[in-house]
Amino acid sequence: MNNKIKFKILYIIIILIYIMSINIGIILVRGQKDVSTLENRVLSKVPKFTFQKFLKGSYQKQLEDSLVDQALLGQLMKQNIKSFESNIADGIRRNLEEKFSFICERYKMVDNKTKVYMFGCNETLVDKPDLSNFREELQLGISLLNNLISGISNVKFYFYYIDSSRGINFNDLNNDIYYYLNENINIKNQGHFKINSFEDYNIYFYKTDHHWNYAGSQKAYEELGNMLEYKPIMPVELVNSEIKFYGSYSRNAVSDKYDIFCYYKYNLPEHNIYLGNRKVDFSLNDEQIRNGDFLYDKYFNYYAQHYAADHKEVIYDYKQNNRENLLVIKNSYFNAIQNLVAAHFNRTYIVDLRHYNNFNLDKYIREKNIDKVLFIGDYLYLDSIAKGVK
Amino acid sequence: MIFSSFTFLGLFLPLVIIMYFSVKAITKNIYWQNLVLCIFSLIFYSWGEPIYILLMLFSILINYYFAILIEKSNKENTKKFFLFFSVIINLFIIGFFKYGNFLINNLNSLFRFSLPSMNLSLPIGISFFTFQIMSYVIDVYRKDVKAQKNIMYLATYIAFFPQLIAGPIVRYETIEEELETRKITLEAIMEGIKRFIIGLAKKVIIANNVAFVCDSIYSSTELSNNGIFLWIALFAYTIQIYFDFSGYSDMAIGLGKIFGFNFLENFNYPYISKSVTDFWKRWHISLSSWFKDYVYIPLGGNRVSKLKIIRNVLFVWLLTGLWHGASWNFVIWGGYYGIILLIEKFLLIKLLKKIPNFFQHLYSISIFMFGWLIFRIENLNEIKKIVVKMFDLNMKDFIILLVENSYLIIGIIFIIIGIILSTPIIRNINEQLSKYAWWYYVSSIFLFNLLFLSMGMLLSSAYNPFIYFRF
Repeated sequence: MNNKIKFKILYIIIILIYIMSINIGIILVRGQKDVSTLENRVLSKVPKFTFQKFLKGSYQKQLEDSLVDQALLGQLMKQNIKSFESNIADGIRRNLEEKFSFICERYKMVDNKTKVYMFGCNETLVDKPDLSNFREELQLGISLLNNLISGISNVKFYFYYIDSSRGINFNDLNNDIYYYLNENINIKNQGHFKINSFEDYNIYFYKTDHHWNYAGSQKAYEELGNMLEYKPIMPVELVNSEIKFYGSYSRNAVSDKYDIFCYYKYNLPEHNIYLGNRKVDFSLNDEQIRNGDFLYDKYFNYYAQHYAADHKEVIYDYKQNNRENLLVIKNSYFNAIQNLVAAHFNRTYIVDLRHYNNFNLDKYIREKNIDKVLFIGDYLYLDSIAKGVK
Repeated sequence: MIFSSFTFLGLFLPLVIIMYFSVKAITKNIYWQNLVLCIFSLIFYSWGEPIYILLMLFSILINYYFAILIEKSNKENTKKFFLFFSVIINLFIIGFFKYGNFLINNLNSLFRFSLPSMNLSLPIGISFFTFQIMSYVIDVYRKDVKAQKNIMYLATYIAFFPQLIAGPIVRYETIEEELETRKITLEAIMEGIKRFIIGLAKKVIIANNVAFVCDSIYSSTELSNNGIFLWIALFAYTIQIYFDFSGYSDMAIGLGKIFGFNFLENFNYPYISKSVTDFWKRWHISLSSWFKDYVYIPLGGNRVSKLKIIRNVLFVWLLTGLWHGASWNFVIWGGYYGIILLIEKFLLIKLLKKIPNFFQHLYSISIFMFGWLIFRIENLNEIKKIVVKMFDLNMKDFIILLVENSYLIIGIIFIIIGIILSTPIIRNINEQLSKYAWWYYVSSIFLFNLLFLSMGMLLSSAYNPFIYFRF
């Protein structure tokens, strides 16, 4: 047998092994994976065959989805190819921006599927919301919020609106959203995390995530103090973790852009945190961070890990019986400051209405002896109200 | 099931290869090898439209008997009767499923009827397998081939999965011998694998990426207002349709080789043609030759009066247009080529040969690119608007829009790569380097990497439609 024939046999065998290992082999040997950290979702699994499903075509669709999700080196390939493509596109775009500087102040779409944009020459990843019909879009949420609080007395209500990239247009920052909310929501005590310029946004928000960074969350915490009447606790240290944090926009667009994950450290009174009846601890381990031991997958969500994820109900118990009980109805922005705000109350109940249907505020207030209710979120927040009380 | 799906690549293909070669190793009897291919082909077809497998089986059964009846009949009139009946049934099947709604919609709008739509999905590959069946029965009538006595063999020919969904339209005479006896060599398997990988890469790496550009531009009001972007969209579609369709043909030819079948080529670098006549000798060869052999020549071909030639050419091209889809833009597209081919035939072709090659290419490219515009944009008013806008070339707006939509840049790079690869440049380089022994190994390893990259591209993008599916 000459070398060429040997090569051909080897080549055919390798090809056969490769195509066999893409799906059949990997599923048999490794089993099926549950979740993808890259895509932040549950992966499809090989469905059970039924003739009815087959005739409808749904079996074929589910099988294809599961084979794509479970494919050999699937996540790695997706990640590398997408980031290779975005690096090339970035290089060309940067060249054009150097020649035509006026382009910086425009929205540039980075990913067509997930609608992630870039703004400014420092390449901040943002949303590009269409705010032309914001009144119509917010109307339902406002009326449901007003209905929710109507007839409830003996508690104080607060509303805090956050300008985020999901609710502002950097080319026209003078929108009337907050004024519209202010006029139409039947809550006297209102506050506004206002973004006055793109530079402002860069100070207070991550470059690759839709949330506040450490500076933004500290500012919001202090502003809330004026509203809720507490004296803010000041940070004792800024921890620079050196962790590369690929924020939500980076994760969605499989981009190579990242923030350095920094956070303030506070000396907080002793407290317990509960998810239902289960005692939990959200914060990252400082020791591990400082030693660089706290590195997960590239696209690991350090924000959710360090502060808190969007749980249905979180309870902070600071055991300060002389203080009031607070209920916070929030979206994810509040996660970054919930332990701080809670430090000024006895018990703080934090509720995410996206997990609820028919939420009964009156009953909740009575059952938990609530004294103050804070509604806090950004432009998409009123959608969560609409979902939770409908 | 499509070739660029994981169900095919990761499940179906390994299974059919293992089963086929296991059976081949156990028994030399080709019957069992054909049986494996037949069963897997029927599974392949039923995967997409389970219920329509019955339609295909019906079609195979009917034509199997008609072909035998034609062969057995001694009288010419009886043969003609069976042939006529078979053709009518086949045309009825394709007409009912593919053109039924088109007819109803036109009747409704012409005569203000209110006939209800049929709500039937188009059976996948119906245009391809119906044409194959018709060519088989006609060839039996013409005594070009013998009627197949084994219905399973005929089913293997009609339903053979490599060419079932998007061609090429394989004539029975091409594989008649191979159905009975075929030799599979190591070299043929190797060639088949390489050809399949090339086809897959053409589809997944080039066609899908440029399709994304084309679709994004036509679906965006902002982008489709800029003339330069409209040119990019047209180039993208031109590259997409070639790499999509020829990629599928490559995969079909490659798979055929792996199982011991040799299909004829379906494309021969159509974009380097110097005239439209030349283009249609290089594009979808199996379809053009089908219409030539089974419609144009029986109508008299070129050996009739000028007036009849005009009638024949226009008739064939209106049919070709209709074959591509049940919509008026396809009829216009067919008519457009019919008229241009007639102009070339009677006036232009001699003149074209006298002008420099560059202008011949330019002429041909302009004609087929405008043809693709008619093909892609189904509304005539829209075509008019696009053509007008294509002459409004605002460079500043283009740069702004390009940067604002930088996700399109990769696709635009693939358009350039596609243009280069539409020429025989790689084939010529390959021919030059084939002299060296090392090239065989290097090119094989390169192709393996191309397979790996194609799989990665498939994973990184869920966007994976085959344009030629609806035919």
